[in-house]
Amino acid sequence: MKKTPAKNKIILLLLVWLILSVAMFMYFFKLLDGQNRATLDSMAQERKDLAALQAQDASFKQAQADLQELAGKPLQPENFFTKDISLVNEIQTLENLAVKYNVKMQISGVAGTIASLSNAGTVTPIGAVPYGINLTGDFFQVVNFIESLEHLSFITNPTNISIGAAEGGNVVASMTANFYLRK
Amino acid sequence: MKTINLLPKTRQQELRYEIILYSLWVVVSLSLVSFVLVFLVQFATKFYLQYQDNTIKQQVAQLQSQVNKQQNTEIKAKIEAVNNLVSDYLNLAKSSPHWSKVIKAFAPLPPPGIKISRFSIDPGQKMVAISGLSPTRELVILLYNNILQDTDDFYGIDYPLENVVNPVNVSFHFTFKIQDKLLQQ
Repeated sequence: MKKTPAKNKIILLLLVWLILSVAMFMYFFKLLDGQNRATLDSMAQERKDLAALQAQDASFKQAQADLQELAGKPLQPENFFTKDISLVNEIQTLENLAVKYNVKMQISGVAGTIASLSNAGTVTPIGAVPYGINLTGDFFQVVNFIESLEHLSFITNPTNISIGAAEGGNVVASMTANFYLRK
Repeated sequence: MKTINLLPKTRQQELRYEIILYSLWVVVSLSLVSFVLVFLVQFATKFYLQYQDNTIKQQVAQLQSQVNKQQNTEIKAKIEAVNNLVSDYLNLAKSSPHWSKVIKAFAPLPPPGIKISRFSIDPGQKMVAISGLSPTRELVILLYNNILQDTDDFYGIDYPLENVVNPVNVSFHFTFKIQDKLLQQ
């Protein structure tokens, strides 16, 4: 058998090396690299989902803690607006204020039913009950009454305030305001 | 010293090719080893990444079921209801300015002797209308000047000239606007 000359062996080896290199770089490395990149992309997306879910889970836990803390507070959000159509507590509070500031108070115009109340423009169904209030007394006591009215635990926004002179150095203040009822 | 190669030219050429062939073998062998190494590293990376991927997928699935629990839906509904009530309360509380601040700001302005018989606030126009009685014209002008100087609280006084026609027992009325910062709570 004739021995293959070294020159031919070189050419053959170079050819094999070239084919192997091309196969490795163009196919095997590329294939595995592509697969790894795809896995990395998928992992990046899953990590994002995981972070979002972890945040959501933490938010739920925080919400649960907040609700528990809120349950221990003396004034509950559901009591921000009364459901009592008779408005007993609200009127009683105003009467107590009138006594406290030594002013004569008259409430007028409270009318309607829960169904007929106009919506207060809120997200939760809350109806506005308009009413008028007349106060007679010393000027500064009337102002103190109005100031207290603006800082009650329930909201009753006074508007259209008018103050006039009355007998005995007193003033008479007329206002319109709203009570708010949770429907 | 000079080396003399006595081999025939073809043999000499053949020997040179064999040296090149040997070097080439070394290069090819090293290449092959490096290819195998890189291939193994890539393969190991692939398995490692797939393992990590599966771990994250499991964590996502576990958290997903935890987050979608009925209890969380109830918490979400409760929080939404509380937030709505709180935001409604705050919005309604903010919707009306504290008018007592306006009255308190005006109270020190009338000079002694002047009588304010009516003080009205128009919430829409943020305007105050006053009317009253003054023993002298000078006191009406003094009241006008007092309101004019209180620029922190009031501006835009509308002052009818008939207020100063009579020198004594003046029945006056005028309007002025309220500065926004006085109404801010």
